[in-house]
Amino acid sequence: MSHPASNEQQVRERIARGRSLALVVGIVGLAASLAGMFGIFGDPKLAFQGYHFGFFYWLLLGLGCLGMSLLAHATRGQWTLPLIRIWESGARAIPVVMLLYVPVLALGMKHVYEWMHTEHVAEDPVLQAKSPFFFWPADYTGTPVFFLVRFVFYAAVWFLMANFLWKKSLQQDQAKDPIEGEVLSRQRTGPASGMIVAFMLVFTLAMVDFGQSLMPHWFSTMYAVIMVVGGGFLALALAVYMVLQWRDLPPYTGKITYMPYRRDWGNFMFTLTVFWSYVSFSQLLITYSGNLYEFTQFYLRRNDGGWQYLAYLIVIFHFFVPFFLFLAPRTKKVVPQLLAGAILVLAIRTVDIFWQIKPFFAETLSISLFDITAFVGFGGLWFYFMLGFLNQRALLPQNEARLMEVAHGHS
Amino acid sequence: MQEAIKPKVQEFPLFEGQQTYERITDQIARIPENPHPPAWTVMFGIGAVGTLMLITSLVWLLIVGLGIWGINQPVAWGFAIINFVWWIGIGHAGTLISAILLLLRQAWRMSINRFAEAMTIFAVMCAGLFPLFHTGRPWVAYWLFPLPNWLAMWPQFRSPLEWDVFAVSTYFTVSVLFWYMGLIPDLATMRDRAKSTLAKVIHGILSWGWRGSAVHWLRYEQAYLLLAGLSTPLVLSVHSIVSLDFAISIVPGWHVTIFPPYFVAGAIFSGFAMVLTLVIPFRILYPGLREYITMNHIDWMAKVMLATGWIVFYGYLSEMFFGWYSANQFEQFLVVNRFFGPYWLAYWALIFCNGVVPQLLWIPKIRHNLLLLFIISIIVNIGMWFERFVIVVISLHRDFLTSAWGQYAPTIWDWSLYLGTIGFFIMMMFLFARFVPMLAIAELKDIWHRLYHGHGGHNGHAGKHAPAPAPTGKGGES
Repeated sequence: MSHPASNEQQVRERIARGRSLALVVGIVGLAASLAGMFGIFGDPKLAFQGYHFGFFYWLLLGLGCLGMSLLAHATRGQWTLPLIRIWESGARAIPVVMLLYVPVLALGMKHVYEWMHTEHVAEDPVLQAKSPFFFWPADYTGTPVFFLVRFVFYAAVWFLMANFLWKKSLQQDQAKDPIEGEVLSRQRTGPASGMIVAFMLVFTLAMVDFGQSLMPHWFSTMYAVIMVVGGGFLALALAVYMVLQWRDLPPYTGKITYMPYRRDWGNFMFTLTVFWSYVSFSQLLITYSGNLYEFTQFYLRRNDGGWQYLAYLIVIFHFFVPFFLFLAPRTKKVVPQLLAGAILVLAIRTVDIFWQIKPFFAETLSISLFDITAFVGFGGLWFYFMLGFLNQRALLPQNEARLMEVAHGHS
Repeated sequence: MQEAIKPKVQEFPLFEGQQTYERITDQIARIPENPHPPAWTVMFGIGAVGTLMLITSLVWLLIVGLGIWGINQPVAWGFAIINFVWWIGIGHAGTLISAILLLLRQAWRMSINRFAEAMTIFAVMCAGLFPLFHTGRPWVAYWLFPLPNWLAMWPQFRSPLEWDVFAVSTYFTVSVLFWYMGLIPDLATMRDRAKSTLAKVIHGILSWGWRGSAVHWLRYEQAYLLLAGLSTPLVLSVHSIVSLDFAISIVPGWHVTIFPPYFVAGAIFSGFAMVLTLVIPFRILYPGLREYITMNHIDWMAKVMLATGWIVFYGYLSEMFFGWYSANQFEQFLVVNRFFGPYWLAYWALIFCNGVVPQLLWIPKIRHNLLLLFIISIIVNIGMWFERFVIVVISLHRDFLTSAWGQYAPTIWDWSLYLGTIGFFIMMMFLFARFVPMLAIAELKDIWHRLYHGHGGHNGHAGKHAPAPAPTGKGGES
């Protein structure tokens, strides 16, 4: 009600244009990946593995959006208000990513998951001991029933959470006045806090399934923490990037992207830079000190065969550069600098996730065609739906007293 | 020039009653000025007796040696390390409140920071005693520092125990500096109010000639922010390094990658529990405090406990699940041994105290019930002690080879030293309440000015935290 829709026309047109582009790119990418699965461009194994990378990346981004939305609703941080609709839309697009994974579940489990290889498991007591986690109630020669059940369960839980937040926000948009909006906003904090707990527990299991189980002898209790921080970081950088790109267009003009917000965004990116580095380094240090192959194999693979160069890049551009960049007050004052920071985060997060996932499949540094096709394929469709959801509602929370104070307060 | 996003505190009053600058000063400063209530004498007495017990235990320890404790192979760490970690953890609430909540512009911290910082200092003192005496030769403890010496003895820098020396001593130094610097304007207030010459002189010396000029405040604010920046990494680093004492090894139950953040969360959890354990009775003892440590403050502290409690509980669940998922016989045995081994009671007590009981804090009514909150905070304190017991004793008493298994039982000297440190802690807290303004007077006045008093219409002080009228919204918890 405070932002007449006509003002937003330009942003909405951009979103619509972005959607069409995303759809085309997405379909082309996915078509190429699917063709690859049938051996049209060589070894189908590479197509499935690349597809898993695309899935993992966009799932993590979607879950990052969901996690950030939950955090925003639970803590009611002012700084989240301009970004929250983007996250909610991103979270709502998770089921698309899950659905697009069906080809792997149906055709290519063996190409992705080592524990699907009956002949390996037969010789390996450790894998046999773990097999109930994937195959129960069948044994390791059967169908991975438990894994598939969990897959459906994850999709359902994430959909329900995203949908709940979506509905509650819509209710607030349609409230009769800001007072009712405020009441609704406060009513969300309890359920959102509870959902953070559920989210993290489910996320942890999902990260075992889609991440750790790719190297089934290896495990780390820190892994899900590293991933959740990384996912949230990705979602934050994306939302900040989008909002700052549109800073000259209503409704994102003026106070919506003004200095105090930018300072908080920059500071939160600084915090996530440090926290991500802290948890990542802790895992490395503990693994290194223990020096047991069971644990070190994860890093041995990633510190050899060319992968170490990506690791160096990550150390420099995921820690040192953003550390100083986001620490500097200037970054938050000068919009292009913060925008560059967000782009840097998006780029290095992509490198990091690639470095996390691809070495599970390849001992030497390599990028297959399918890593790219799946990445743009999943990404295209994710954006298509996410931008569609974004366009369905008001771009900023309506009936939000705190936002109205900012918009109509001192000029 | 820095506009700030309006903090959310206006939605929840930070003060009760009609406040004026004079009233804030008076309510807080008169606690150390007035004669102390009889309950103070009782509590101080209890603390003093505990301190005597502490001294006795230490003297006997020095005379006889470590044999008076229950430690032996395979459990060579026992109470000393359990209590060390417990105390260090308790200190973390103070640092979190002083540093991180300041950087997060959480105005509610102003009412509890002085108190929690004092708690940090005394808790770290208690913590430091244990490893110092656990070395067996505390008189050569300076060997832990890399001092050039003719024996060419050099510390083992690869050992996390050595990192602890630096982490904890830095932590203590910064905490003391932070606490003392925050005190300077208040000590000057005490000086100006003092009636006796002696009090004037002592407070005058301690407040370094503070006159409250604009230049003084400028320097003060800069130094405060710098110290907050310095302390922030300490909140994470100190307990992370303590966790590495365990995690660097390959002992099942210790070699766990999630240990650093899980320890930090546990530390904040236990720290806030201890703040509540102390604040609730202090509010009864000194009713004036209730105007500044309101039910909103208590509610926020309870929420922090709930959140950090879940991180800790997540750690337990994670250890259980990955213990099984590892398919490693030693890891799996550890889980079984925790569940059903000789110390099963300690393990289930930990799950009950830290996992189950804090769930009550979801209920707003319980967060507003002081008696229940007090009981919950005590339960959490006990639970966090059991957590360290489980980590130290259960992992050590049965590790890889059955031939190396053993049992551990604390002796009366273990208990007397532990209870002695609690006594010392109580004594110091009550001495602190007796001699120093318990809440930060200057900061409270500042925040009161900014939030409730300093604005004229909408434009007020565009410079600092521009305040705004309380929103029209109603509902939600308050």
